[in-house]
Amino acid sequence: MTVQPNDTLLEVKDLQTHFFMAEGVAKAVDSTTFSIGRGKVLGVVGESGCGKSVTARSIMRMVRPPGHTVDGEILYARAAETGPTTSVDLLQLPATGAEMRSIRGGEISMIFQEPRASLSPVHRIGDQITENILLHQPVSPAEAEDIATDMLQQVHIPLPEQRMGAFAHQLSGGMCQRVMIAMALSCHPNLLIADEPTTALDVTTEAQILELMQGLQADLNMAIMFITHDLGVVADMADEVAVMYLGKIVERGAAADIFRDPKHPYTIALLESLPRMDQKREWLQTIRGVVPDPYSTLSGCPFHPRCADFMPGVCDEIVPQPITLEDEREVRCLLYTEHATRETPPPAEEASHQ
Amino acid sequence: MLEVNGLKKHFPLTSGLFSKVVSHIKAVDGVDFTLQKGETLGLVGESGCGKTTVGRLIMRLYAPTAGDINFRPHGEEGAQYDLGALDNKALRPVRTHLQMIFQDPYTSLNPRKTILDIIGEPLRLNGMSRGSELEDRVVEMLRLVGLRPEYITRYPHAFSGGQRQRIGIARALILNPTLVIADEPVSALDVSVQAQILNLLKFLQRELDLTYLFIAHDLGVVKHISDRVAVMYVGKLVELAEADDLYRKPLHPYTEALLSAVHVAGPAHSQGERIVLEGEVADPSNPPSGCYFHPRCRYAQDRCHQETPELQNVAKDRYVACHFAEELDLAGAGTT
Ligand SMILES: Nc1ncnc2c1ncn2[C@@H]1O[C@H](COP(=O)(O)OP(=O)(O)OP(=O)(O)O)[C@@H](O)[C@H]1O
Ligand SMILES: Nc1ncnc2c1ncn2[C@@H]1O[C@H](COP(=O)(O)OP(=O)(O)OP(=O)(O)O)[C@@H](O)[C@H]1O
Ligand code: SF4
Ligand code: SF4
Ligand SMILES: [Mg+2]
Ligand SMILES: [Mg+2]
Repeated sequence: MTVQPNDTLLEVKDLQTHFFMAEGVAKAVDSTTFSIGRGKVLGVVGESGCGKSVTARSIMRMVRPPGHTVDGEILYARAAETGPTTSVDLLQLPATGAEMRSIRGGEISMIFQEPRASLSPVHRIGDQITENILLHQPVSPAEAEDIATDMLQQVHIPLPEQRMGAFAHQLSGGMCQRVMIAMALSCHPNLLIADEPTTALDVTTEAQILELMQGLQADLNMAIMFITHDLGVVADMADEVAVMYLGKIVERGAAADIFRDPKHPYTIALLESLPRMDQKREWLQTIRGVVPDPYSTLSGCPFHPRCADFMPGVCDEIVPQPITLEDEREVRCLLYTEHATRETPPPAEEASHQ
Repeated sequence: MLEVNGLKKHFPLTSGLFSKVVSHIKAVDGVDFTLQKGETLGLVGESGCGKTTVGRLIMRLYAPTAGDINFRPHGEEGAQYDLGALDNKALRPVRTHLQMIFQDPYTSLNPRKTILDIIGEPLRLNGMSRGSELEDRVVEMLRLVGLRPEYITRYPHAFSGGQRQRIGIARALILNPTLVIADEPVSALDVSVQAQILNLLKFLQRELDLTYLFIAHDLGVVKHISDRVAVMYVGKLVELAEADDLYRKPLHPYTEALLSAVHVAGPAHSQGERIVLEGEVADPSNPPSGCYFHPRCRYAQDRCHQETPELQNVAKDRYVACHFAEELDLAGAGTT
């Protein structure tokens, strides 16, 4: 079988993950659709609480009650050892069954947000990494230990041999994060889900880690789903960008296009609120209002109470569906449909984010 | 208001079955700075260089190996505390003045308590309010950090990463402390919520004359919020200056490298040369001779291998620890 550069590795269709709480049903992920090509980097951005981590956990089949993935498909192109690649719907596999366990942490691995909380407080970090390697690779315990030490070295942890014996509480925040990264990369995944992987790292360490990821992406054709709020990193790393708002993807397209010419009013607002080193501003721009509660059912476009381009009588009544614009850009916004009450959609404000 | 002198913290590095101490990790190794009332001092530096340890020492969550920490809270005329020397009992009255926003929100929140209990706890411990009064304060704090009041009965696990971080912020600010040590307080937040929190921190500072030690790695955020910025490298300060000066014209080669590595969003930006730091991160149990930065410094000369540069006052409000600070012409950020 030849690997085509552009073939799809993971296809998520209409994913819905809801939390069933006493107060009501929180639709944390509500009809999310996207795909990731083999060896490609998809950047996922969006406001805190919009459903990025829950989407990632849904793919890993790690959503815990009261959360349930109630609908959708997660098609993973799994390369068999012999024979053709088969498409597996991860949602059809038992979450704790043998097949899912061999995929999770091996072929698809994840760097969790809040690394210290994801590491065991009572096991030495070396044992935690080694155990994962033994689970997924046919190596001896001694070899696994060597791989683990080597990975710690690669994520620039000083004194890796000694640190193998450390507990999480003896490491700095950024070190815990790098241990998590070492663990996720140690089995050479086909897909790496990186949930805010560099939040605890200073810029120079971050640059080294991103370089390491890009190296593996090139050498092993690893795809990355890169969840981050750092738009600078997205601009650097991602081939494609998906912008999420309240459990839905509101804009999706090539990274360069989205930064040059954002279409969705939410994306535009997001780019405007960046703090910048080359300007002195007393107060930073914020998007007015807060992300609404995922329990609430807003009529029309979910962004309408906060949207700068809100069209009364339209946006609060019609639910925008994803539409595809010229450069294969997908947006969920009525400005780009026949419902628009204005003559022309607002020019994507170039000046705003320069 | 706060004066830190010769602060050190060494952690024993053990090995083997009997946990024999083989050496010490010099996490903080001689740090001096002062904080004026109402100012924000940014603290930046490589992962593992000792920033959190500095914060925890001031909070007295760790006992210092050496050095003193003098604290003069306002409102108490003439009161002065040497935090380093006090025991737990003597610390109790000072603790209400000091609050820390922890770097790891999840592990710092009790999983078995509701948000109401977690955020209201500092109030209750200090007998300040009870019942519905307490609840009102908590609700107000939740609103200020952009969380919904209905969440008040939920447990920490039912929140997203950024939501949990804001719970930690609400908890730290509810007592109107004098000094807040904010350890990466906005690292998990998207730009819009981040802007909201930064605005809130600034607003509270104006209203209540708060002082912040603001630890962060996002240099754009640090510049925005800080009056002065301190740069740390392997347990020591290498540069300290007014924020604008530091960004415009760094004097230490490590600061220059940091500034050059910043990502800038958007294609409209031409990025200057990015200085990739070669070589290994220094090992804090066995730091290099001379200037700790010399194995990675592109300006290093023979002298740097032998002599350790001290933090020196080289111009008004500018401190730097580099032998060649006055000769080098280093590049700043965002000015081109
Ligand atoms: N265990 C849970 N029980 C109830 N609600 C939950 C649970 N986990 C997440 N949620 C809710 O689901 C929504 C989406 O959460 P998610 O963690 O995916 O956000 P996120 O986009 O990753 O945000 P952040 O950038 O802050 O990490 C949030 O509103 C959150 O409160
Ligand atoms: N309780 C501890 N026991 C042993 N070593 C520790 C302990 N706490 C911190 N250290 C070590 O001290 C050094 C400094 O850690 P610290 O957490 O202060 O770094 P930091 O600058 O906050 O880094 P980061 O940006 O990654 O959070 C690290 O080498 C760390 O492993
Ligand atoms: S549909 Fe209307 S409210 Fe929604 S984003 Fe577009 S313009 Fe704004
Ligand atoms: S003292 Fe020497 S090695 Fe250290 S920062 Fe200055 S030039 Fe570089
Ligand atoms: Mg998240
Ligand atoms: Mg830290």
